[in-house]
Amino acid sequence: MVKPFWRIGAGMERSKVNPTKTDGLTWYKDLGHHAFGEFSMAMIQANNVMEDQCQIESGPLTFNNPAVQGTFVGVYDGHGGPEASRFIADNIFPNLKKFASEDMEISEQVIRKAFAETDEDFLIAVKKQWRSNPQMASVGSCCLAGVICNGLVYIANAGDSRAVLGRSERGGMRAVQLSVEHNANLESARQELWSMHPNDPNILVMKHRMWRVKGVIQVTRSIGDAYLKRAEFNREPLLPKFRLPEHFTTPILSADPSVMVTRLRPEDEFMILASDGLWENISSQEAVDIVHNSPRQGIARRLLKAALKEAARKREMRYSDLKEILPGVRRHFHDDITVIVVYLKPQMVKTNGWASPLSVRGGYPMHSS
Amino acid sequence: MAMKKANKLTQKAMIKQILKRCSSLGKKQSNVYSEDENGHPYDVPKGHFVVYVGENRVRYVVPISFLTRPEFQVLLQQAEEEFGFDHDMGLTIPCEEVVFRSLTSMLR
Repeated sequence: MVKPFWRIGAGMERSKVNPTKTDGLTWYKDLGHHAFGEFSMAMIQANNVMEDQCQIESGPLTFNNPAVQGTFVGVYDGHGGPEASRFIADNIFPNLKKFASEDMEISEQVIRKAFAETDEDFLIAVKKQWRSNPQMASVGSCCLAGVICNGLVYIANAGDSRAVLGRSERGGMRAVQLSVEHNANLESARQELWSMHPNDPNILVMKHRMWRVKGVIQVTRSIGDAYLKRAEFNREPLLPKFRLPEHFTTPILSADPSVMVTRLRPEDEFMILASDGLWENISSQEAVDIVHNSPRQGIARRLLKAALKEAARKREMRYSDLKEILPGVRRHFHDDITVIVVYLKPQMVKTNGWASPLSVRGGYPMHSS
Repeated sequence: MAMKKANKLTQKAMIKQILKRCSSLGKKQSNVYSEDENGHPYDVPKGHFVVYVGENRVRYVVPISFLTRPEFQVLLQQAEEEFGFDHDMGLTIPCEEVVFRSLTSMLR
């Protein structure tokens, strides 16, 4: 049987009831309101255990200054298990608020500190259970976080999820990429790794036309993946397949995000944030065109469907048949997919809106271990 | 009942042994097929999908009911170990055709 994998506003004392729905392996929130407009979320599970997590938090972004209002959006694409992505969903927003409270504002630095703290705390948790649960050292997650505040949008990314802006132009809507991706199959990510590890000829290994860091992983930045960050985890009792043959001193993967700050313009209509499961099936421009040409209600689910239709086409089968495949084997047809569409109300861009606080979270299993 | 279980076990062991002899794949062959107006390939009936098998990546149309069979799941596991989940074109099974055929004939 299909296991539900969501919960609402987990642990958020200020959250109001915000109905979300499930339909088989799909979880969705067709339309909701954040501080500056509307949003739509959808996720689909392909792995045995849902490894993606996501959240929207809207309202105060500090604990002590109610004037700092905004919307926080997170997409966390876990690998090796769901623990790291769940940990991020539990901790990164409180961490962000903590540092924003110290600085009395949102800034690039505040967001970087929230990433660093979340990674640090996860590695501490890994160390604590090293004896009882050593495979936690091989669990990690991509982390894409967006903050809309004071007419600016901050996009911080560690991993290969992507954020795209829909900007209206004469003749249509243009996709403007807001995130920098870290995947070994991108030239920029490879150059970065080679320059950071000049003395390691095996830092990147090509296997079946795909580049992998140390031959084991495609993403070059992440939260978690302790075994690629600290040599102390590169030993027994970690399973041999995760252990690297040679000792290392510099961390191989970094949790430091690439951050892009963009001033929102009146012609900026919406943002799409999604895990790579979406982008391996539809392009940024295709996604932007779909959002531009469709009603807002259920737009995230519409993008999900477009990606699944393409996944079915690649496997030379019908979409209706793909929909019936159970999690686990389903991973051979597509990845876990998370899509969040955030509409940017143009008239709200200049001043902070004061919508009621909101907290929606997707991807949490009801029976978590 | 006990007899059945024992048979199942030896069968599984046999499959594993055969799979060990399967070779890695060389160059790939692209999948050229035609679609109808709904984007469905002409030769793939409802309830079926396509895999590419063996060194020459020979195209096979198989029922999706295979996906629930442990014997077929062993093949998928092989594919995952060999390629991960990234297949440029079509799901590729790294297994000799003759093995694939005898295995799938048991499933039908």
